[in-house]
Amino acid sequence: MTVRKSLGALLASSFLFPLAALADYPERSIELIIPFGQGGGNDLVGRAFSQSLAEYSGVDVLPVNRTGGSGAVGFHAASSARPDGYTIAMINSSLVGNPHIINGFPASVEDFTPICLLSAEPVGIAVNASSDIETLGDWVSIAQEDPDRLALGYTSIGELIALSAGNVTDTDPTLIPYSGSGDSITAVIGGHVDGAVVSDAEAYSQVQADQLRMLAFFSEERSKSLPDVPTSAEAGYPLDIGLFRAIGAPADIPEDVEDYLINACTEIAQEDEFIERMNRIGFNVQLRTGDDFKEWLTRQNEAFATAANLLEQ
Amino acid sequence: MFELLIQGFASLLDPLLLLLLVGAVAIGIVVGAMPGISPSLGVAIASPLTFVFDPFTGISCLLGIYIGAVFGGSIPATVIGIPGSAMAVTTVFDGYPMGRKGKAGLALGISTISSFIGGVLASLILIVLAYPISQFALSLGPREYCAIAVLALMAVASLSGGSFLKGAIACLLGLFLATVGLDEINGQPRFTLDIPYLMGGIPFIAVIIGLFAIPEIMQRFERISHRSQPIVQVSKVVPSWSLLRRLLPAQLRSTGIGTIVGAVPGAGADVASLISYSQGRNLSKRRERFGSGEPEGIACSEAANSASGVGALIPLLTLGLPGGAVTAVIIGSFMIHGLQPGPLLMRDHAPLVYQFFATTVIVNFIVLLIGLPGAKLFARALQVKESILLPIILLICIIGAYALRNNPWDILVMLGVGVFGYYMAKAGIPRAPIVIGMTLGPIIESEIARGLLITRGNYIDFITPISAVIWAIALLPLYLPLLRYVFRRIRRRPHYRNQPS
Repeated sequence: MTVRKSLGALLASSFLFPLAALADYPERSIELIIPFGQGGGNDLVGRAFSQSLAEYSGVDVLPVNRTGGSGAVGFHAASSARPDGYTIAMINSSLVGNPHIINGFPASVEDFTPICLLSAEPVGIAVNASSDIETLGDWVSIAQEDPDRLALGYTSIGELIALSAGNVTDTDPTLIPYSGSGDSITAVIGGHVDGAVVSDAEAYSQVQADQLRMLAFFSEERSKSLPDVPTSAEAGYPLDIGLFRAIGAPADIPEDVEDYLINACTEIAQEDEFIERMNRIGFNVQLRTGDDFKEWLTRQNEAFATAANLLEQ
Repeated sequence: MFELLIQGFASLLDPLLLLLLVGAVAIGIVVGAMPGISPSLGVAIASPLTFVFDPFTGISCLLGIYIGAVFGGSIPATVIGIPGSAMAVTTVFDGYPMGRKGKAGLALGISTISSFIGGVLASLILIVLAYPISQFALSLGPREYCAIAVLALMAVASLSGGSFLKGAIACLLGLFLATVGLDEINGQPRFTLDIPYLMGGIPFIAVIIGLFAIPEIMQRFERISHRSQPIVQVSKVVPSWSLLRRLLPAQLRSTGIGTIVGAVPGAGADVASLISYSQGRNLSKRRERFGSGEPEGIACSEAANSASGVGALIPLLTLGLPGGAVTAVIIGSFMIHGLQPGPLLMRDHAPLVYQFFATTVIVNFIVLLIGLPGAKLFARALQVKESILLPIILLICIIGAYALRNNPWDILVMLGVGVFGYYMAKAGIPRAPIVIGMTLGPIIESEIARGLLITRGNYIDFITPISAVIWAIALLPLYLPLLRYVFRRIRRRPHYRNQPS
C-alpha cells in the first residue's frame, strides 16, 4: 500500500514538477547564446544584456559564443535547445536575412519566440571623407553614368541592403564582400573601395574623426547618434531596411516564461545603467516587445525577402 | 611627443600598477600556454573584469594579458610539442626537437629572449613610426594581402621536413579542409552535407590540437610501460653570448617582418611567423639544420609573432581599426571604457595613448622577467611521470578544443583528427603543412576574389607595384636556380671567347 502510494505520489509529482518549475522560473542559470564572435556588436550587446538580466533575475546569465557559418551554428543550437527558457539567444538581422541568401540555412525567424528588440541601427553608405562624393545624389549620378566605376563593400547581409539600395536608386555598383564591418571600413579609408554599407554604430568613431562621410541612412528616421546625416527618403529614395539586435527564445517556450522574459526586457531597457552601457558601445536602446515586435519583424523579413528576389533576377 | 612619452613611463612607476601588470602578464602566459585558449578568448574573458579600473589601468591589463598570451604559446610548443595556436607551429618545429635533446630549458630561454627582443623593438617602432606604418598598411589592399599569404604559403617547403612532396600533399589536404563551410565570398555552403555543424567549417583549433597533441600522447603511451623513465635534466636557460650574437640578425629581421605583417589588416601573427621562419631558413647558413632543433628557427618564429602582436596595435591605436581578432576585442573594451578608438583618440587623449605605448614596452620586460626564471619551471614538466603528465595534457587539450566555440562536437573532431595524425606521424607525413593550408587557404581565396572584383575581373591589374615585389620574393625559390644558371653562363661566356676557336 505504502509502495503504491509513494509510486502514485512520484507519478503525480512527475506531472506536477514541470509546472512547479515554471512557477519558479528562473531557478537556475540561464544560457544566452551569442552566435557571433567576441568583440563584435552582437557580443557587446549580448554581454551588456546578460549582465542586466542577471541583476534583474538573481540567477547567473552566461553569455556563450557559438560561432560559425554566419550565425548558422549558434542560431541552430538556440532554436533546437529545450524550450524551457533556460536557453535564450541574441537574434539579429542575420537570422532574418541569411535564410534568403544561404541555401540550407538551418534556422529562421519562425524557429524563435521573439522576446524583445533592443536596438535597431540605421544602415547607410559611407565614403572616404576626402572623396568628391558629397551626397547620395552624387553617388547615384556617378553610378548611373558609369556602372563599372563604383565599388561598394558590404558585410554578410549588407548584400541585401546594398541590393535594395541599388534597386530604389536604379544603380548597380560592383559589390565587394568583406568578412567584417571593420574590414570594409578599413578598405574605404584605405581607398580600395569607394563606399561601404555600414551602420551608424559601426561608422560613428570614424565619422567623428573625419575619416568617413555618411551619405545617407536607409531608415524612416534619422540616426540618433549621427543626426546630421539625411535619410535616403529625404534624398528622394525611400527605403527602410537595417540591422537590429534582439533577444529570442526557442519556438515553443511556455507562456509564463515568455511573459517573464518580456517583463524583464522592458524593465532592463528602461534602466539608466543599461542605456548608458549601450550608448558607450555605440547603440541606442530601442525597445519593442510582444506583438508589436513580431509585426516589426515580419516587415523586416518582407524587406529582406524583396531584396533577395532582386539577387535571383 | 618626447615629454608625453616620459610622462607615460612615469605613470607606470606606481608599484601597485606594476604588480597588476605582472599579474596580467602571468595570466596571459597561462592563457597562451593552454592549447586552444587563444589570446582573443583570454582578452574577451578578462575584459569585463577590468571595468572596475579606470580606462588606463583596465586597458593596460588587457594589453598585458594579450602580449603575455602571444608569448605563452611557445611554452607548450617547446616542452610538449603542441602549438597553442597557429602562430606557434613554427616554434614547435625547432623548439620541440631541442627539448627532446635535453635542451628544453635553453630552447625556452631562446624563445623568451627572442619574444622579448621582438616585442620591445616592435614597441619602439610603434612609438616612433606608428603613423607612417599605419598609412603604409592602409595602402595595402586585397591584392597585396593575397601576395603576403602566398609568401607565407612558401613556408610549406621549410616545414615539410625532408619530403617536399609529402608536405605539398598535406598542405593540399589543409586547403581542402578549409573550404568546408560557408564560402567567404558568396556565403554558399560547401561540402556541408546539409549538416548545420559543418556550416561553421572544420574547427581550426581542434584540428591543430588533434594533429599535434594526440599523436604525441599516443606515441608516448606506447613507450610508457616497460623501463622506468630516465630523469630529464633541465639544461641551462640563458644562452651564451656567442649564441645570442649569432641569433641577433635573425631576430632583427623577424622583428621587422613581424611588425609590418602585424600592422597589415589582412594578416596576423600566424602569417608573420610562417614568413619569418621560411625566410630565415632560406637566408641561414645552417638551413639544413632547421627543423631538427636549430636555435635560429625558434628565434625567427618567436621574434616574429611577438613583434606582430605589437604591430597589430599600430592600426588600433593610430586609426582605431582592428588589425586582427584580438584587436577587435580590445576595440570593444575601449568602447566599454568610454573611449572612442580612432584617429581622435590621439588628438583628445594623447597622454593616454603614450601611456599605452609605455605599457607595451614595460609589459615586454615583464615577459622577460617571468619567462626566464619560469623557463626552468616549465621545463621541469618533463620530469613529471608520464603516466601522470599525459592524462593532464589530454584533459587540457579537450578543454581547449571545446573552449573556442563552446561546441562539444569539436572535441570529437579533435580526437578523430588526432587518430589520423597518429598514422600520419607513423607514415612520416609532416603535419604542419595541413595547418598552413588551413590558415592561408581562406585568406588567399577570398583576397583573390576580392582583388578580382575590385579590378572588375582584370588579371593584369591584379598585380600592383607592391604586390609584384612580394610575389617576386615569394616565388624566388622557383626561379632562383634558373637565375643562377643564367648568371653562370654569362660569367663563363667571356672565358670561352678568349679561347682560340
